[in-house]
Amino acid sequence: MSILEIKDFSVSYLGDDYVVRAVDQVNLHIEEGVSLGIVGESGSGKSTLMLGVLRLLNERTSKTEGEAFFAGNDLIAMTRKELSKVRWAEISVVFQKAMNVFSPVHTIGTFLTDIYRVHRPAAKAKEIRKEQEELLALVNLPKQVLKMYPHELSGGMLQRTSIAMSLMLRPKILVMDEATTALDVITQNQILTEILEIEDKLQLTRILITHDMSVVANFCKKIAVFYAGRLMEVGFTEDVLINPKHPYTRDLIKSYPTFAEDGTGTVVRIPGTMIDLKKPYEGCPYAERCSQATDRCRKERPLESFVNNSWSYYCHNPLEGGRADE
Amino acid sequence: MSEKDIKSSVQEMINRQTKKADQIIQADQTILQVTSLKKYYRQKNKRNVLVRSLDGVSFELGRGECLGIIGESGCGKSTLGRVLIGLEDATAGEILLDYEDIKEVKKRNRKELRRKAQMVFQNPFDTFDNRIRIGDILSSALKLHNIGSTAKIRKQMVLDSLKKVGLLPEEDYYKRYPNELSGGQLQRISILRSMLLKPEFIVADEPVSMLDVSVRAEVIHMLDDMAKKENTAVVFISHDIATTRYIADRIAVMYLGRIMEIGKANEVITNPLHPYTKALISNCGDADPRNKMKPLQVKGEPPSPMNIPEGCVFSDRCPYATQRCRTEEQTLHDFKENGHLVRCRFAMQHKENG
Repeated sequence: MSILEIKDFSVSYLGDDYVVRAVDQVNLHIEEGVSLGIVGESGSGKSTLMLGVLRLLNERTSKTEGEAFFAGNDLIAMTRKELSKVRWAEISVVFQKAMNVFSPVHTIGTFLTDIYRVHRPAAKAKEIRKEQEELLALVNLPKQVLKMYPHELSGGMLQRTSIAMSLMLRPKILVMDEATTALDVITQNQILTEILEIEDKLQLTRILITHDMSVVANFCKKIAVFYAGRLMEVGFTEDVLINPKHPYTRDLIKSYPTFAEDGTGTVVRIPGTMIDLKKPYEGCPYAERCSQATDRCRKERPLESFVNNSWSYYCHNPLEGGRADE
Repeated sequence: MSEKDIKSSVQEMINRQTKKADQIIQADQTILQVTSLKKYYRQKNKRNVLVRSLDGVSFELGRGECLGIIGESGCGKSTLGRVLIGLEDATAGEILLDYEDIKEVKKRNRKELRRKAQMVFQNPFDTFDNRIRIGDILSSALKLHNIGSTAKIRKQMVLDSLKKVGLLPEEDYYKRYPNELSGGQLQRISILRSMLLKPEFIVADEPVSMLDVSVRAEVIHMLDDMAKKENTAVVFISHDIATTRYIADRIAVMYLGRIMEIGKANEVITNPLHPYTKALISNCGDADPRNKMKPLQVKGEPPSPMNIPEGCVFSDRCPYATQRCRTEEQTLHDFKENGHLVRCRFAMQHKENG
């Protein structure tokens, strides 16, 4: 069952004399309990997509089109009041810079109480306290943290705190927008492993936005690859990363240095740069850099093709042999 | 190519690399000698508390060699880079560049030091002044060091170098402003600028971590090519182990201002001896879901450099630590006598126990 259904979703950033199509007609179904990793380079629209769906963008400088259904309700058509009930209670977000989320003049406990005041005004102080301690235990933090100020905690601890905060109201969806990118690998793995463990218990669907494919390979069931605002390929990680259908997916995988046993994994760069999204274009945005591109790619926009009902791609000339296809 | 062919060609490549590394070490062409380098900072409000960012770092660097320095944030790897090229003065210890103390070189003539040691910074967008053309940025370095007698000659030199590294059409790049270039292009200009004076060694501090993966490869290749061609030594600082292994001849693993392990890149990555290196490497994932990582768990987070534990600095997080580790300081030791040094008393025992 899909918990979040994004349909024909587009976001444009409005400049003085130009429009940037940051997200371009994206269709994406996110199933309950199936963690999704959204990958792409900078400027691929991976963050904008979720910001747009949650309506966190400035309405004066951006324009959102399309629909996004959460449990049957269109988030885009909702009034602000209705939306505020969904945000944080049903869908919560953790951003990259946890250190900047907290005001330095309040204790961690204050932040963790604020949410209850807004969303659950009837909750008693004792209950809140119990909940808080439980949540902190969930992310491996001692309860003394409640009395501490943000500057007394390390980056990793603050990131854990903001994850605890996002889980307070037991949301159905947790969006992590490069939430662990700034952390050290060891800390990053600790946090992601902890979330992986509590996911089933809380019936949580995780959406992980990152540029690091190894994180997705290790911690997500499905992967969605974005390029220049468009969805390129989506499917189970084992399928997409081993036998990519879209040439971009393959090229992206190849540009990573690997840890192959013999240590000779070569990195191959993708020629050219991403197209300028300020200018309108036809066909596939990757056509200029793609080794498989034909005239058709430059003229006709690829439609969604399905390998099976969970794996699809947008390409006229999909790869046959996948990763091994040189 | 059959699998066997690939394997044999891979083996050949490894042999070649190993041989090359051996030659570099044997030829005694040392360009940089660092001996028990220390850098302490004082906090503004707590004057009596020392922040020990570097605490006794020693290593040697051969001509044309690339040394990768890896470690988590706060381990002192960036401080090391800054001290090495004289941006900051060391609290104690010695850095010999071409058998001469850089303090002396710096005192005598700062410009002379800059001709010998250069740096590539992490963020290419902050490196350049957006109001100065690329051509002027590059030729000003030449002018400052009295290379090329006229502006015309200098321009030609810059154009040639742009052409040589494949920034084409070179005339076009010469005229452009930094804000008209992408991050990857700017970083290549940054590397070009640092190499323009043909320095003896350069420090590259996270040169690709700000860039998109699709252009990283190009920047790494360029740095590698130029350094090999000019026989320039490179200190490549990064937290990205896979990338470092790709470019470096030798790798040093840093933790709390010390080198915990140093050796040939392949040796350190495939055959780590220190428990910290093992943990660090096991926590690096691969983009191939068939190679799921099996991370070794390490307790807690690195201690603050203001409060360094006694004995082995990793002892409070190490799964194998004994009482002796917590009281006695360890030194770098060459157990295998092959230039693979490790700061752990029990490294060989752990190895045997798996």
